[in-house]
Amino acid sequence: MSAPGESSQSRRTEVGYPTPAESVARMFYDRVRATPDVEAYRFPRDGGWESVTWAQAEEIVRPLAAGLLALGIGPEDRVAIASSTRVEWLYADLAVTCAGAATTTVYPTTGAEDVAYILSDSGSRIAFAEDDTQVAKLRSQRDQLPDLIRVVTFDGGADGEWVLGLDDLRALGEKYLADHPTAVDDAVDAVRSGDLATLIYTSGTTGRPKGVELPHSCWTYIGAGAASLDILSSDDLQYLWLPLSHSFGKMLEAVQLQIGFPTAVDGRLDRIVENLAVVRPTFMAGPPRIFEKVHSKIVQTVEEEGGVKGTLFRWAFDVGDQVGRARLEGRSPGPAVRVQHALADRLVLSRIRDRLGGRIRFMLSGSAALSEDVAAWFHAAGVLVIEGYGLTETSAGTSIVRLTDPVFGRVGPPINGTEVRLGSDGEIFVRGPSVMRGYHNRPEETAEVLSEDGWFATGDVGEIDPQGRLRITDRKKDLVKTSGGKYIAPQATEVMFKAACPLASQMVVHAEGRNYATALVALDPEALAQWGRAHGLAGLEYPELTRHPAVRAYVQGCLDQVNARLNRWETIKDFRVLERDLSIEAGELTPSMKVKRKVVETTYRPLLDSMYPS
Amino acid sequence: MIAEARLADGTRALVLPLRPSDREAIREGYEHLSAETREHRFLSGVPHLTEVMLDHLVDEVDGIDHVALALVVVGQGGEGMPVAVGHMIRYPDRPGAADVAVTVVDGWQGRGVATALLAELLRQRPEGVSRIMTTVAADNPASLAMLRRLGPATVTRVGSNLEVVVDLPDTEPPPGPGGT
Repeated sequence: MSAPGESSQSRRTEVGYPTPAESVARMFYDRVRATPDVEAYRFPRDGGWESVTWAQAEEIVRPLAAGLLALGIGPEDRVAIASSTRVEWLYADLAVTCAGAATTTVYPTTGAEDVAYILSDSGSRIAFAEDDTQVAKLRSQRDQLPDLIRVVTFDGGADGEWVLGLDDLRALGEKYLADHPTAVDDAVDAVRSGDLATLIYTSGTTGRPKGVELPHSCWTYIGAGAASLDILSSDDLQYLWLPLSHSFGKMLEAVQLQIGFPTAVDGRLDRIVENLAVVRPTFMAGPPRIFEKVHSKIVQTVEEEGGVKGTLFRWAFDVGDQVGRARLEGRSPGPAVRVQHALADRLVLSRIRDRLGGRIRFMLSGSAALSEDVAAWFHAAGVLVIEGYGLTETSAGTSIVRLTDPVFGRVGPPINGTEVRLGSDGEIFVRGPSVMRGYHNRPEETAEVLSEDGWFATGDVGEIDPQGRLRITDRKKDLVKTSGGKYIAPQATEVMFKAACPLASQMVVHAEGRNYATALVALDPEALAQWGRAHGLAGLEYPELTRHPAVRAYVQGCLDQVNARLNRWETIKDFRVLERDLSIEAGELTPSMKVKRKVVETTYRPLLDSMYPS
Repeated sequence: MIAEARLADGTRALVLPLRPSDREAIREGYEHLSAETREHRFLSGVPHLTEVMLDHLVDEVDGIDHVALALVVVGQGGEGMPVAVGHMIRYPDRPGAADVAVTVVDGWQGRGVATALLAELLRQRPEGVSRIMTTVAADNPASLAMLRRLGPATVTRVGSNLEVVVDLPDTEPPPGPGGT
């Protein structure tokens, strides 16, 4: 592919950033040296919270790193981590990096076959597995994984042979350190900025997931770039629940090493609300889904209460919104509004903030577009949610809204040191130290997206406003993104469904900006009539058949087969059978029968909305 | 009517009208296309051509409102190999506008087949058609470039697709690089 030569617009933030460390391992060492006695990680234990300082974290990580060295792990060897977000994930990742090796991340929800694919494609030699469930997946695929010499489990049962416990690895490491006291220091010294640090697998429209190779220089730059933004300091307290298997979570790990704020780690989604009140963080990041969830839960609760409370709530948010908008526009609200706002804040708005612990300075939304309404609602309550933009291929860090220039519906200017420009068709190209080295063992696919002079083609389409802030308007590839930030290839699902359901004429998968996927299904008139005759429904016309419970049950059965083969986030949670097939006359198909997806989605908007109770 | 064409690399080809008897060949040919080529054709996931689709795309070809042509390359030994099919179909509610769809088998993409076939489709286009209105996938730059060569084009992004409107020049369209 070529660089966007006829670019209409480009943007580069011309401010420097601190010199990045040589490696992630070096960042960790530097952090331990700089603030050994400062709190590093906080994590749930026995119903409460425990903390470790940076020096204590190093004492935990060092023998684990040595254990990996003892097992024969060498520079850039891949070590996988299949676990939800918890402090052991961070220890394991730091151990891998201090051994000079590279981490391959695996979602705990990924199916056994895909796990086997990722481990064998990456050439992973050791895998950390959270518990017996993760271990069982690896065990079931052991025949496919000849390179995988050991599994190290956090909580699961060890067998002393192929599967070790974390304590077994530590013991191995301590023994190794007794014989080779400088082994870990030497390994850290040997890591160069261009060495592989992380392999994160991402899926596209077709084919198997691709491993994105991110060298140490990507993460150390992200750390330095974040430091130059001046939005976080060592006084902050982060609440981290995002999947660390995802680049967004990994990015936050690097930023923390650079800036040195403590982080409370708990990946359990159902604990967030409870934990926020106890931890009282100053900063939290998440995909739009989490902000939508908080918003809808509070609004719903108030609506159910109704009465005077409901009225008060609406008034308070109206006042909060006036103040919020004035702030965004750099105005100060009039004296009457200020008085009302003080009351609204005391009665309602401050209580919303209290539910988030009461100390939040701002929150960061990334990995999918955040609805401007939801952002404005939080802002009315006095909580600023800013958006950032990045892909796994750009280490999740390309641009971010600045706290000094808050705005909704934009993802901000590029991070210092990153260049962004638009191709002639609006496609966003990114160049800079955050851009991946390439896709693992896939030179052709790498060449399709990465030009020789370093421009990465994101496949997203956007605009740059006069203030230099990026706005994402669309995606070039036919992938839709849920509000949880997961990609879905609708056409792949449609193919599977049509192959599985002989009644199907068309399926349109819908998921863009929603928290799960649903589908509209149109049935083939002839096939449906035949099916009706065979099932004792001969007298019914097409529209009646489409509404018949037996037809719906049959389609559901086909869909169940398809769902069983999809990743969890891709599954079709609900569907509606249309009362007529898609047609050229209605403009849903072009005369040559190309499906006009947006027309279908617009025509059937109420039907789609009915599958997403608010 | 059988037209002769030449691809950019000099390969000789014939362009001939699609007949109802080609139904099985079209059905079978579709099975061998890659997932991406199929997606670009229907902008939807279509594993197999259904009878309803074949009725429309083969049987309803009338040479008046719906012109459909196949391109057959001629090998060194004179053997023919069908490698592409193209449709130009008038919009029922817009007599002056037609949709186009050109599909080239994967092994022959990027060799000027579509350009040659499109040039012939334009020559044989439904009478009175002066405008092409079609939809192409946004990740299909080859098709967009081909349409842009036909005349002044307006391109609007709608989701992951591009709506393309081309006003055809009054005169006979210029032959593409591989056209006759």
